[in-house]
Amino acid sequence: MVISRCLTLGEILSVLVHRRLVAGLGAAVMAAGLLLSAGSASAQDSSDPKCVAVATAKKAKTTAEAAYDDAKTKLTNASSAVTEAESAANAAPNDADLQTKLTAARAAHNQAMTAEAAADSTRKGAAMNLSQAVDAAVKAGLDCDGTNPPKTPVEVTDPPKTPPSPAKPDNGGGNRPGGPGKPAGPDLNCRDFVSRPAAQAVLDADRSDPYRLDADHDGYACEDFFGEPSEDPDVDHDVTVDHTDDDDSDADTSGDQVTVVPEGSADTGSAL
Amino acid sequence: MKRTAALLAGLLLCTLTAACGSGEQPGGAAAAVERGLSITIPSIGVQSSLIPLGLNEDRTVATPPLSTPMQAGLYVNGPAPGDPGPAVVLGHINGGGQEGVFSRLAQVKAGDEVDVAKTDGTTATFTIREVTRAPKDAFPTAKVYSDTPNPQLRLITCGGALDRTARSYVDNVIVYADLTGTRA
Repeated sequence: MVISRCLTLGEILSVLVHRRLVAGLGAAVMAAGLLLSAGSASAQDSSDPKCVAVATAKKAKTTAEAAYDDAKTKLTNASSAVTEAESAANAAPNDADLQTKLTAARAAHNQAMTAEAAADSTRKGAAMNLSQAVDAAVKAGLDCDGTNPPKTPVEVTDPPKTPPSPAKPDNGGGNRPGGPGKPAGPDLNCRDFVSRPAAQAVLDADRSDPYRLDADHDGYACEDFFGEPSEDPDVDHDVTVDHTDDDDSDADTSGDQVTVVPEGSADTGSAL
Repeated sequence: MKRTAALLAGLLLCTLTAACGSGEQPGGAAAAVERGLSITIPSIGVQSSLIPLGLNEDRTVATPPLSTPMQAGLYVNGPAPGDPGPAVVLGHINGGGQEGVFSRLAQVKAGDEVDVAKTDGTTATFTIREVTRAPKDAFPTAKVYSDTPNPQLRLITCGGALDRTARSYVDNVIVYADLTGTRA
């Protein structure tokens, strides 16, 4: 009896232990399954054509911005060279050599201006492409950066990092690059999005706000850049019209045929 | 090797998708201009292709490079010319010391025609309704960019007195036109 009772107890214990093990194992398997499924979902996202398009566009934008910074520096240098050559030539108007140098400096300046304008167009085109790619990915509900834990083992979206371009001017979006929690890869700024809801979707995907889209921490992304979010969620989650607010123009616009309304006037002439 | 091949294939696929994806731009102007557009205003001898124009960093509308003042452009965050809404075409009055594509825009008259042609030969003809001049510090944003019931066209350049200090003109010349015909 004693033995049998012991056995029974042992059996009971073993069953209990077994059950606990099984339960534990089950939980572990389930957790692993979740991890796997989450991992594979993220991996799927980052290898999704739309995500790779985002990565490609980000890379192109970084390259284009570096090229533009370079062209801008060259233009500034060429500009200074013209100023110097002008003052030298003015000081000695009869010096043919200085006149030749001035002509050469002006020619170099013209070339630098053309190069800068071309780089600027390329840069704007790259920004436009990125904005479209990000919007398409966000609309498709993709988590391209894999910023939601758990992390994916293969970071397809992160191309080999290029060195950061020189200090960029204020992006006008309230966010600043280089925060401590900044994800690997190129930065995303408010101006990279076609609309505030598109930026909001990225913020919602990772509330730690690695791209600092919500500088005032009020839960709304890029409202300084795009304007305050609409009270009506149906309106706000469609592609919205961005109203101008500080151009001294006579009124807001209405409708959404023009999806982003520019500020102010058009600079379509120059006395240069 | 397999993995590299798969990655490469993925990248290629994405590049293709990205190229096609730009057609999803709301408004349609971006896709249309990418496929190729040109503008003709016979009454003032204007003929130019259209390049895509987005926004500057200060959120003003971008204009074509001053180094190519004879180049006109289409604002991409709006409708394609011929689609309902205000399609906005911008050109310089001058640039880089040369005459610009819209140097004579202020001389067009109501009733003059503007043609916007696609590369497939389809042409949308717009008829000018109104030629206005607005100070740049009171730009009629609502009138220019608000929804319209029909396909319309805006042509924008500079005008008015030249502010030599700012090296720019104080006004914008804005032309409003309505779609009055299309031909293949």
